[in-house]
Amino acid sequence: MASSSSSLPSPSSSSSKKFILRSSDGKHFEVDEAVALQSEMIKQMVEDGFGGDVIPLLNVSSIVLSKVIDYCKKHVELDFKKKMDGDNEAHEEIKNWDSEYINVGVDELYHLIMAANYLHIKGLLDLTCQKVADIIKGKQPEQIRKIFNIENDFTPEEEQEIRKEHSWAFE
Amino acid sequence: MREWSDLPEDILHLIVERLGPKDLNQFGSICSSWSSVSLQTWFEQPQPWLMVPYPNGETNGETQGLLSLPDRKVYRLELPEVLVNVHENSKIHILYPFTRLQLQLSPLTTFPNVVDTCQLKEREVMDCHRCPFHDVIYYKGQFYAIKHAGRVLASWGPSLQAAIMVSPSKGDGFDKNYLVES
Repeated sequence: MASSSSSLPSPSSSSSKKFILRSSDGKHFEVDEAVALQSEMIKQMVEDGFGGDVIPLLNVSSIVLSKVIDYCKKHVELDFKKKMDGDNEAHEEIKNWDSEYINVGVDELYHLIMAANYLHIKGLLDLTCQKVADIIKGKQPEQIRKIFNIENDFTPEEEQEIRKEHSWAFE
Repeated sequence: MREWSDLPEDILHLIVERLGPKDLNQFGSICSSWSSVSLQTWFEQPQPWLMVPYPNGETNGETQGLLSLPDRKVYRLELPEVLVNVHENSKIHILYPFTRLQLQLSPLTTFPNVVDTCQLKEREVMDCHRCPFHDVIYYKGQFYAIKHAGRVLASWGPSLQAAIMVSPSKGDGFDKNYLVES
């Protein structure tokens, strides 16, 4: 899969301008301008005169980039729908689509967070960080470490200090 | 694999700002990098906790509640220290439990629109206790209070002597009444 093309009659397909994004492993993705400009980082690059060429995204692999493009495409489509159909209906659809989209394992979630941060896609960054927060909520430290594969790097003294600091409230 | 513990600090901040106090507390005990972000967050909370009575009838006044606005919950707090202390002479002390830092604020009586209730005569204070008000406002130099059945009282002067201003002839049927300026 050397390129990704839109099979949907995307609202932005009327705009003829296309961008080619190159992933860290050298794969090319052709996307509509509106889709690419969901990324503030790409927007900045275009404003700085990179628009005509292939845009290299050194920190994003093709697997992750493909998933990120899915997000951007859907949100361009849903933003368009919001303008046409009114806020309420589109809001519900965005919420449902997002919750389905972000239902991924923690490894994929990590790469999506890093990509959203690098590409400055605020909506995707909010969505991924919210997902991490939702995973953490209501869990014990040991469970959280296991899920995210985090090593407990406190010294016994630090751990005691932390236990003291964190034991003063909470029901 | 140290990926998650090595997340950039600004991303960790985006995560912790979505956690309530209890989960933020757990977050801080995961690993050293998460702990340092968690600690910073405690000190940067835009909405400080408010101390409220713990909403549980069986408590005997020794347990306080802390109302956390972000997650709209009241947490039980058991501390040997007092967090905010208002003295009889209207002086206010604030104690931060993590650092044991104590701050002294200006006395309450120096705040605008505050009357030193220590000057009230005993009878008047008793009257207030016996007849709880639904709402009290301070408007144009007077206190106005509304009581059960919609009776409105106004008071003036340093003695806060009160007089009934409005006494509706029939019950209004509402559980709670509020006073608003108009």
